[in-house]
Amino acid sequence: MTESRRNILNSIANALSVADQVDLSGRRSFGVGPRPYPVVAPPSAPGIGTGMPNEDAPAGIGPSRWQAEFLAALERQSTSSEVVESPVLARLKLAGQFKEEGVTKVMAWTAEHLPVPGILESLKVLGIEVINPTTPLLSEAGSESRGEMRRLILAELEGVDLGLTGADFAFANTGTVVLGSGPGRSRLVSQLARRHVVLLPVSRLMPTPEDWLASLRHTGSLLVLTQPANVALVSGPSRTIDIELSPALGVHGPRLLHVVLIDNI
Amino acid sequence: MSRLFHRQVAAALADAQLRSTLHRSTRRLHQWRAEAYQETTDFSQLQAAAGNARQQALAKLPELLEQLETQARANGVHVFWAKDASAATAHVVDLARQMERHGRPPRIVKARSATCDEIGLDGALTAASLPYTDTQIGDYILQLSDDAPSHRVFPALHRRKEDVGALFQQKLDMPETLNIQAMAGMARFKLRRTILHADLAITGVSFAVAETGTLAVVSDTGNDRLMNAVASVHVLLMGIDKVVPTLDDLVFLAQMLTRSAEGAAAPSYLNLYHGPSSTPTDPDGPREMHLIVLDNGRSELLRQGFGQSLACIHCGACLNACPIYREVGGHVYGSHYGGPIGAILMPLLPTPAPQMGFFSDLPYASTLCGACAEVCPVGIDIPGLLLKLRNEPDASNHARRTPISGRKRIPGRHLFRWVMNSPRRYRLGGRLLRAAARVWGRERIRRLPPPFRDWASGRDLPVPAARPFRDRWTEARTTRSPQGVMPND
Repeated sequence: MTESRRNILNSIANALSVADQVDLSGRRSFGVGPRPYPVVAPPSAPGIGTGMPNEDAPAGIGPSRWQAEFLAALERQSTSSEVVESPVLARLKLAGQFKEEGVTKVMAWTAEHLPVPGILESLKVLGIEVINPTTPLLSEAGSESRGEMRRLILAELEGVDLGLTGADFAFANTGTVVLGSGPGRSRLVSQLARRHVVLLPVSRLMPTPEDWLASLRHTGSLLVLTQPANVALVSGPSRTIDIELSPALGVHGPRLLHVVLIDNI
Repeated sequence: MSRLFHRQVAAALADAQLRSTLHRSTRRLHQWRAEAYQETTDFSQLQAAAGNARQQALAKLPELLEQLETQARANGVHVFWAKDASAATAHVVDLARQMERHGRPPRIVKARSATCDEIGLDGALTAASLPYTDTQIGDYILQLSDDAPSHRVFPALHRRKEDVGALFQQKLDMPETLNIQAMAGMARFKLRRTILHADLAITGVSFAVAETGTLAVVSDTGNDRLMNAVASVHVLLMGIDKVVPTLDDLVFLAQMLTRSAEGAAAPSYLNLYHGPSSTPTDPDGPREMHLIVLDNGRSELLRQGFGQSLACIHCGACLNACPIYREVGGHVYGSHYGGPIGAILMPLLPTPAPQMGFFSDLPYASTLCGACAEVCPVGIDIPGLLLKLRNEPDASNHARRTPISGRKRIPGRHLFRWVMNSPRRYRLGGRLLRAAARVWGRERIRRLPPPFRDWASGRDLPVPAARPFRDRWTEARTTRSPQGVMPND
């Protein structure tokens, strides 16, 4: 193992020392290019997408400026959305709406990871069952009991109509929400149910993914990103165009993705 | 060119349904790609920046791989270095064997990965009596029908919905349908059961970030994330070329990838994996994560001066743009890396002996029109590399046999040069060719006498115009203004 590691690294190093003279790049040479890279799709609103960290943004250029851009990007990728003026309104509105739609069972991140206080209680009051798929840990279960236990958990989760999560960040130009896994933040919540509802405070909205990275670097929190075992950048529902390039939704993930943008947090 | 290649091309060309499916699909993908770059920063600027990013990464490959290894280990990932395909497959089989319980093999699920195809993982698993299921919809269709992938991103691009409907009816007891959403729903239903019982998940890696040890997988269905959430062991397989220095490279290149592959601003899922579930309170995720770093001829390819081809981010845009691929599809290339980039990679990567001569002919399956280089998001000079391969047949790992059309001394080439070097001889040559056309062909000239016979065996020529342009030009100059004849004559 360590030998093949050494062999591989040596042969690459040797190859590079030869290739440097031979011409690594073929005929076309790009030279030293710009860093940071150009923003691929700069947002259309002026003054944003400059790679500036959020808190340094000049006055008057805030998330509300690129909210319209975000909503348009969501719509382009078959994601529905609504804007709610406050967390309290979000709680009242969503709970009532779910009840009306006949939702009986919701799986969700735990309350401390949702930006709408009391939402889970409100659902329960209305008779909607809430599941936090936290225990027991699927992958930790012992070899004997594991199969049986997993079957039970997954059988229960599979029947759930709706998954409810928060989001760490969102990008306006690509219509992306960022979901980090971790305690109380099951991946299955946003993957298993047919419908995934994301509760997103407007303050987490950034113009582009490039701005997100710039702000992570600016605050020295780049390695915080690696804490969650899985960080998913989700842009639209699960989809496939594998059959004749015709879009079909909801394959290994939700068929419906809905983002609730919450102001005043 | 080898007879086998000719036979396959002839068969593909004779298949009218295949051709109409390919035409429609490649043109659409090509069009979507073009539209996706209309709203962005100027494409040539992005292309230069992306090409630069990839080449800088390749130039620092050993350092980046070591940094990646250190970070991944710190994140709790096991790292295995595989010199070649057999070392990689043996390791996967080993890991799977360790998971056997009471003689029952682990339930294995796989996501789309050309690297898995490259090392022949399917065959190795089957040989070791380890059943597996492909969870990517295209691959699932192919697995059900024992078919081979024909496109880098959409492996079942050559299949029509009628085929898939009939296949699902026969294999999955699905009522007859042409509704694609219903077929996807059926696949979801079948695959979800399998995935929810999976023990071992095997995926590729789209980009590996050295600074953080992030292993990124691009996907639209999210199959890798579901597999990762449920299975107790997750194995990720990457070629040494997949490493990039920073998260900035990842975010930048991933956008280039999906815009080029399918015209989307972003994939539905860009999944960043950092390691196994870290704390006992993590609700889901694997108990173990294994990264396999594969060389398999890449360092040799680099040494031969073809390193630029490793800049490839596997978007498939060159396939969709290629006039050859558009006509014949991916199967005739005889491997998982088809199209223009495949014609460079396959002769250079190690392959089983029976296919050696076949792959060394692939660089000739190109008109060198340059459509591929134009759309390549990382600006690989594909025609240049194809020419380089033609001129240096020995660079190819296994081309000890010189392909007919690549012979160093083609007598006809000297004759051609001699003719083209004198206006008088050119005129005479044109006259001869027109006379010959009357004998050999009505619409296309398919055969020529020696010394051009071998050359023409792989090429059709249009019949020369009845009256040469020179004559028409002279006549037009004397009778009317030149603008009248120039554009469409």
